Amino acid sequence: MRIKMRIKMIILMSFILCFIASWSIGQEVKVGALQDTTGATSDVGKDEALGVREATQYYNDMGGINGKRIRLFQYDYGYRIPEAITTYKRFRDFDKVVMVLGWGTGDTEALSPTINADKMPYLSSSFSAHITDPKKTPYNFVYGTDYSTNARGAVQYWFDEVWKKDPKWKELRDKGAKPKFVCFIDTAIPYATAPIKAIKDQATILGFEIGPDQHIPLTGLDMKSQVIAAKGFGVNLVWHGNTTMSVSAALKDAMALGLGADHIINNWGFDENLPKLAGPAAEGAIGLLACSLFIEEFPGKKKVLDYAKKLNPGIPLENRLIRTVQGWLKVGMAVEAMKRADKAGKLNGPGIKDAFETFKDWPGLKEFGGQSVTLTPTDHRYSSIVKVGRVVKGKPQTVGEVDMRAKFPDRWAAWLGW
Amino acid sequence: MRKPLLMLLIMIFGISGVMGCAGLRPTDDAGKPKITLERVDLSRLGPWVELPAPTVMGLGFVFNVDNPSSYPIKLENFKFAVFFEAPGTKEFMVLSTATVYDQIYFAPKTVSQYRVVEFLDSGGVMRALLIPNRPALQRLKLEVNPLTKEWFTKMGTGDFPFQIKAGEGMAVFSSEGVKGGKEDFFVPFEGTFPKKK
Repeated sequence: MRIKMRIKMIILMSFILCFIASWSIGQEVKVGALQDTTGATSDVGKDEALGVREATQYYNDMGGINGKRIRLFQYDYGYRIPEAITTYKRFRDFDKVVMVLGWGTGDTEALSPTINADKMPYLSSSFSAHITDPKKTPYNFVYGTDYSTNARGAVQYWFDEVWKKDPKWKELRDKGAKPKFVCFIDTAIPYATAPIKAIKDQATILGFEIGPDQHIPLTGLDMKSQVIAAKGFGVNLVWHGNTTMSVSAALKDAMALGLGADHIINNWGFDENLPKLAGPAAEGAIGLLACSLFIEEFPGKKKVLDYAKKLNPGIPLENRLIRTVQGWLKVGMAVEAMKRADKAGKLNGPGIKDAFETFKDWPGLKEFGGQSVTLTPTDHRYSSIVKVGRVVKGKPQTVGEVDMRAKFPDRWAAWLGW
Repeated sequence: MRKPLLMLLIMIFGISGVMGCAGLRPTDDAGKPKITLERVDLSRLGPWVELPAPTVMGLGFVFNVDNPSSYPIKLENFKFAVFFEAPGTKEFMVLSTATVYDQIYFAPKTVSQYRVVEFLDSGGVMRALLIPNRPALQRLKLEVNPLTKEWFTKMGTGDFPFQIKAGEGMAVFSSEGVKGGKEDFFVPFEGTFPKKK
């Protein structure tokens, strides 16, 4: 009788153990990702999508979210806002994701009222400053210094390091001339227009003369008329607010027509492809960086390379860009928030939002060349530090950083949400 | 009463033990799934309208999924990039990315067929030529609109007048036969159709 009881106990315990094991194995955390791999920003979006997928696999191999596997749903929406909205609804209603990794400024801003009503954390590759004020957009987060702070930092860096020091501008400096500034942007694309108010404000603070904006389509091939218009104004500094492909075309036309100005370029227009496409026209161009370039050395490079080779062996490493590394930043930040939310027993929208807002000098992205992250319930700006790169001898490289909060402590608070 | 119960337990544990250890695992070199492009079907082709108005083209990519292992494998994610050959150049242009998350099991020691339908439109193809393919186009001195039109108008004529490639392919599988139970494993693939004559 006693043996019979023991056998029954063994069977019961086996069932319980099997149940616990299958339950823990079967636990998943679903995450949606909107990508542009074929649309107007696919010159940079395709590589970022690869990085997101590879980083997700790495974190899964490292134990996922406290033992729960991340199941990533990654869709190309071709940079078309209606498809982004439809895909978001699929994530919310069908896949039932706990958070979304978003892409462009247009779709991020278009979806913002919906995701905030749904209490869906949304970590975006658009660093638009418009979504960094939690009073208006509490569930929006970004994984890079916002476009407006970056744009201000680019102008500031050029003013301090080039205009004030470079012999090229000595004559004008000695005459007491004001630097002349023009923006080259696709005026129909929210990504390109998002930081324009801030950059013009910064140019005004520094005493620049501002010329008329020149419309540069993301898909444009010929920018000669825009370059001629800027030359007529006598421009010294051009802000390029598009993505790499059209920036490279504009740089080539600027060189061909002898524009003679310096160039500062937004984050998504400056990468390893720029000098390959623009050739000598890119030499000296200054650009903004969210992290280390793929061609640079950084502490987390080995895992980035290993997972690129493991998951996408068909894509040559020499074609990879900083966008791959940005994908790692995005996933790394999301994983940290989800781990914290899970530990707090709240792996859901409000729990993940609260977890993001506990980030205080979090150094997790430093291994990819990102910044220490501090987020609060009143400020979702990722960092005040602007990382600056420059094309030197045909290769882009990191050349410096500007801390805009340290430089303008009295203005920093008022710049929230610009 | 005790003996039959004990025998039954021993048999259950014995069989499950044997099943758990026997045969090729899908992560062994010889047991790893193989994916090949069998053919491409033209599923739908709208009548050509001049750009920028869109013309639709649906392509069915039929893959052979060979599972030589002794375990069923579950496909969790299947993605590849669609490339068209620029006629007369032997170079391929990337036009779209097909991604599927439907979950499906492939039985042990079988070759199954798996179809992915991908829709292209001429506007999207034009943009793809203008952005990611622009350096290649400039190098080959090709124009965007005529090339787009050529693909969409010639596709429905003759015996596939240009090659189509499913490239940068990656299938993500899981299997109970893999150590750890649910660990993902990856199978890269690539194929062109029609095959070179």
